[in-house]
Amino acid sequence: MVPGDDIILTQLRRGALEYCVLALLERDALYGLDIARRLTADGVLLASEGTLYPLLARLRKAGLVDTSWQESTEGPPRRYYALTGEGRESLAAFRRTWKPFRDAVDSTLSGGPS
Amino acid sequence: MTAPTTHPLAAAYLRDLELLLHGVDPGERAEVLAGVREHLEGTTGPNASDDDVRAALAELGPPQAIADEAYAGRSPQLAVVTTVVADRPRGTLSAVWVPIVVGGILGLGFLMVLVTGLGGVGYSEVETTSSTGETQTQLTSVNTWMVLFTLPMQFFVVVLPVAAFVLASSLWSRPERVRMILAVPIITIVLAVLPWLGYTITGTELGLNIGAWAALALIVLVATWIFGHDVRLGLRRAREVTAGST
Repeated sequence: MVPGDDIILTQLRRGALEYCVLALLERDALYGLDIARRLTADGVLLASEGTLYPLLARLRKAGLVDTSWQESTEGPPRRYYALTGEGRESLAAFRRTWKPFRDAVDSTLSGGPS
Repeated sequence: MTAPTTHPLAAAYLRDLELLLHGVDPGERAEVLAGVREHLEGTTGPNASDDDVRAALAELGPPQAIADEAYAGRSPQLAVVTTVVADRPRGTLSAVWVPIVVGGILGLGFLMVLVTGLGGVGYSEVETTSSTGETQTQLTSVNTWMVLFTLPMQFFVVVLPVAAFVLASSLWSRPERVRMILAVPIITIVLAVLPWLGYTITGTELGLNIGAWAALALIVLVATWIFGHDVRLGLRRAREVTAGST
C-alpha cells in the first residue's frame, strides 16, 4: 500500500462505518464478535476488530442501538446489539444521502459529470 | 468463564487498554473493556495456548488503536447527535434501580421461605383405631402443607413483580430471567417436599430432619447463587448502560 492509503481509508471509514454497523443490525440483533467478523471479512471496513467496541459504545450512547444479554451455547451470556427506532431512522437517512454522494464522487473521479 | 481473560497476555492487553482509556468517560470505558473482554472470551477457549491468545490479540489490533477510536468519537459533530438523543427515556428498563428492586423482592421472598421453614418442620401423630381394635400410628408432616400454602401468596408478592421487572428489562439473558423468577417458588417446594421425602424413605424422625437440613442448605446455596451471580451481574450491566448514556 502506498503511504497515505491508510489515512484516507481511516477518514472514509469514520463517516460510513457506523452506518454499516447499523445496516448489519437491521434484520437481527448481533453480538460484538459476530459484528467484528462480518466487518473484517473484506479487510476494508474494519482495520482491527478492537476498534469496533468504542464505536458500538458510541452508537448506544447516541441511542441508535440497544443492548440485551442473551445466552450462548458456549460460555457466558453475550451482549447483543439491536437497532432502535432512532437507529432505523438514522440508517434510512444515511441510505438516502449515500447514493447521491457516492454517485457524485464516482462521476467526479472519473472525469466530471457525464 | 473468565479463564481466557486471566491468561497473562490477555490480562496485560486489557490492563494496557484500560490505562489508555483513562481520559474516556467511565461508563464508556467500562463498556469498551467489557466488549473487548467478551470478544476475547469468544475467540479463545479456556485452554487456549499462548499462540492462540497472541493471534486473537493481533486480530483485535493494538490497544492504542482502540483508544484512538474511543477518543475520536468525541468529535464535535457526534457530540451534537449525542446530546439530542441522550436525554430521551430509555426504551428498556436498564436503570440501576431495577436490579436493586428485583434483589429486594427476591430477598423478601427468600426470607419468607426461611421464616416458614424455620417455623419448624413439624409433624403430628395421628392414632386411628380400626374396627378390629388395632391401633395404627400415622405421622403426618404438617409443615409440608403449611409451606405449600404460601405459594399462592408468593406468586403475587414475589413471582409476579420479579417477572414483570426482569422480563421488561434487557439486563438479563433468558436463563438468568427464568432462574430469578422461579427461584423462590422452587425452593419453597423443595423445603416442603424434602423433609416429607426423608420421612417417607426412612420412616424415621431422623430422615425427616436430614431432609429439612438438606432443604435449608439448598436454599442458602440458591440464594447465594441468585444474589452473587444474577443480581450482581444485573447491577454491573446497569451501571455500564446508565453511565454510558448520560
